[in-house]
Amino acid sequence: MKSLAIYSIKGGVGKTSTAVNLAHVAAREGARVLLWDLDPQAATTWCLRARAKIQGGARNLIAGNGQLRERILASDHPRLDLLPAALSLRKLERRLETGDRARDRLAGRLAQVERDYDFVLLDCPPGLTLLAENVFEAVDALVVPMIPTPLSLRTLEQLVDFLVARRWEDLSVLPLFSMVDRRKSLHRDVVRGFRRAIPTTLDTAIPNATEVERMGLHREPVVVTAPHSKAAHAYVTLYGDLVEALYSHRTRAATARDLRERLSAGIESPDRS
Amino acid sequence: MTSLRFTSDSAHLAAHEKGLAESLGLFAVEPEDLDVTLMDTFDGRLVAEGSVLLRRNVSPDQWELNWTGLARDVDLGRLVVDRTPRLDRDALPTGPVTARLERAIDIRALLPLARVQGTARVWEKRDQRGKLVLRVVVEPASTVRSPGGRRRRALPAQIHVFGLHGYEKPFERARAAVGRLRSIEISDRPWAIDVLRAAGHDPGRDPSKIDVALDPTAPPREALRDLCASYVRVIRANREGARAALDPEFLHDLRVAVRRTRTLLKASRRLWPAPLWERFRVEFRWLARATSEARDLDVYLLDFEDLRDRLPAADRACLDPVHAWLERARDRVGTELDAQLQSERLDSLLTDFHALLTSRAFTPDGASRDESTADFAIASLQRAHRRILRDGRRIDEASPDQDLHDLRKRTKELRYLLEGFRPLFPGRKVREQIKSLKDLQENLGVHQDRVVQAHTLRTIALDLEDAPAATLVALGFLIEQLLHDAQTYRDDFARRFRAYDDSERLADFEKMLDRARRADREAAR
Repeated sequence: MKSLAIYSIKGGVGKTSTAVNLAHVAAREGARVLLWDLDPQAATTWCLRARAKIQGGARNLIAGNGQLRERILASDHPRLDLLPAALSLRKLERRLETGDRARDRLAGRLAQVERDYDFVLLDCPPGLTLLAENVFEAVDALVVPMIPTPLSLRTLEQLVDFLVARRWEDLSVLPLFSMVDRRKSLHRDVVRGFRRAIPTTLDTAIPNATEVERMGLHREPVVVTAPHSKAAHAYVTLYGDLVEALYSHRTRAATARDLRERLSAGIESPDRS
Repeated sequence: MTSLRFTSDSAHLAAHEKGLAESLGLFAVEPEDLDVTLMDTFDGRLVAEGSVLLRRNVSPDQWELNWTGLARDVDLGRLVVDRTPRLDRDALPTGPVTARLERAIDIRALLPLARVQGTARVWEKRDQRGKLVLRVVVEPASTVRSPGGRRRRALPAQIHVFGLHGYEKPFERARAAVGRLRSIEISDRPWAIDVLRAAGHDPGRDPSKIDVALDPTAPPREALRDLCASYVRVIRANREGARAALDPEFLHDLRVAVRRTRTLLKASRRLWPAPLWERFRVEFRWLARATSEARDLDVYLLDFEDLRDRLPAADRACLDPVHAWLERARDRVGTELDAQLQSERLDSLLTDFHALLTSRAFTPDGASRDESTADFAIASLQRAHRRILRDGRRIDEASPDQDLHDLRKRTKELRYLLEGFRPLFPGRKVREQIKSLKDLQENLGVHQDRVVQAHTLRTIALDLEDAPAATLVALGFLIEQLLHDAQTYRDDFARRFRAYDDSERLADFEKMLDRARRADREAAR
């Protein structure tokens, strides 16, 4: 089983749409997938037509002794299961702070379903919280969606610095360009400059598309509602990139340490390109 | 996922379907064509662990493989693969499902076992949010065919009810509704088991497994007959797969059965009429020799990636011409092997040997009237054991490699006898004896393999005149490494043999025989 967190310090970068569509494509391509909605906003849960729990359960699941399997729901899509969000997750931070072994709770929970899934995708809320530290401790890799703007890149640097400073320097980090608008020269330049500096960036860039915004309306992944759209195609190729990065003997995902070295060497500024 | 399945006679099926749809609030969705081929390895590895592959045609060039639980209730993954005559791990695409499937099937190929054709009517139940919570599949009539269509059976009309994880209540309501139906039979066997049986298979059984019950008090001819007959059965079972080179295990299992037969023949010489014994000794030796070169090449090809990994990553592609050489050689030898395995000589050998063993006329004349199977087994094991000790104690630093190779053959003989007569030796002692033997065999085996591998690489280097210089340099490097490895194992032989020659293990061997001897005497009373 490979566990991947769709994570960014910054909000509004396309984490949920990446998580839902990537999970759906992985399941459609044949893998057994668990999508865990860790965000109390429960957007992933909503998109898969499941009901978020109002209280209890989820918080206890991570900070207490709850059993993961009991809370998993089958989705409408073959091989795709969901662990829905719960509003009680809002109070999770406080529970984690007062409990023992605050940073490896999540890792212990994922071990319960090690044999049941090929991928566990965690849709994470933004921010460098104690929950985020649990995620870093538990997963095999972070997929970090970034809008191609200097500010978004800055948050990647902050994340990488944090990981290296807090002993997660060997964690694989897979940067992904998201909400890319090819008509904007800034987006084009940032993508080009970043890829030159960080060749291990995932090849696929997710376009900024209306179909993605409509996901909350249809409550289905884009790959189901608009299978021939550019966005759907991008999620399919993104899954191929991930399989290549995680399973091919030819490639190796970059670690936080690798990224920090490359980022400190500097990225070509869009102004100069 | 939870599921239940029941069969119904065709006359009541429509009423049952309608009743369930009304009581559970089901909606009909698009019906499905049922046309799947069930696949597993020859030795039933998937079925043994509770799964099976369902193959469907998705295009003229591709198959879809759905890996599922035997009741079709657990979805273990899906793969799309190019159509190929040999579907093994090399034909599967890189990814998580392949990684798991590779662990399950290892080097075995996936073979078609049964084809199911029919139609399926599908019903669904959704909750107020439109979420799917229950699925019902009605299969009015489906037909099972064995590969090649030689056997054809109709499956009874049946209804499958599939629950979804996390939505247990709708499934429990469905179970209760099914319980109220009349003239149905709830199936306690998984669907795939019924299909495989209908196609004439014994699901999950390994045709190469030897499972013979021996009576210690019976005359030895009965044990000889039963063991040899089971070895012939294994040779026959693997013959076609070895001919077609479906995967390397067919040939391997065939050769092991031949070696077991030869070992038993050798141990029972005095029991046979001399001319017959001599004929079968010569013929099984021929079969062993006729299959050895192909097996050696299979082993080189199986171990090739390990060999390649001995080189620095940048130089590994240098060995491509060597791999191509091995594949060409295997193809050439495969043609010769095919001819031998379909020869009349082999037909006669197996037919005559089996006919003799099972005929009433088979009364080995060397056995004394009161010799039992246990007596015969104990004497055979003692003799084989003594030879290992005698030959092993003679080996020193100056002994030629051939002496170690000969000792390896002796250890194999003892192991085959121990495994064949195992039913006569209950308890863990025999397991421990086999394990000690395996430790010694591993040392001798790796030593021999490295020596032969180095020799073969030298032959290939001489044969590849036009190969790039980098390939020849890599071969030189590998030959040196292999010979160095061989020497390391050779240096370790004395220590390994001392462990085998240890007084405690020798005493345990005798205790194991004594226990069987006592049990035989008590049974005879």
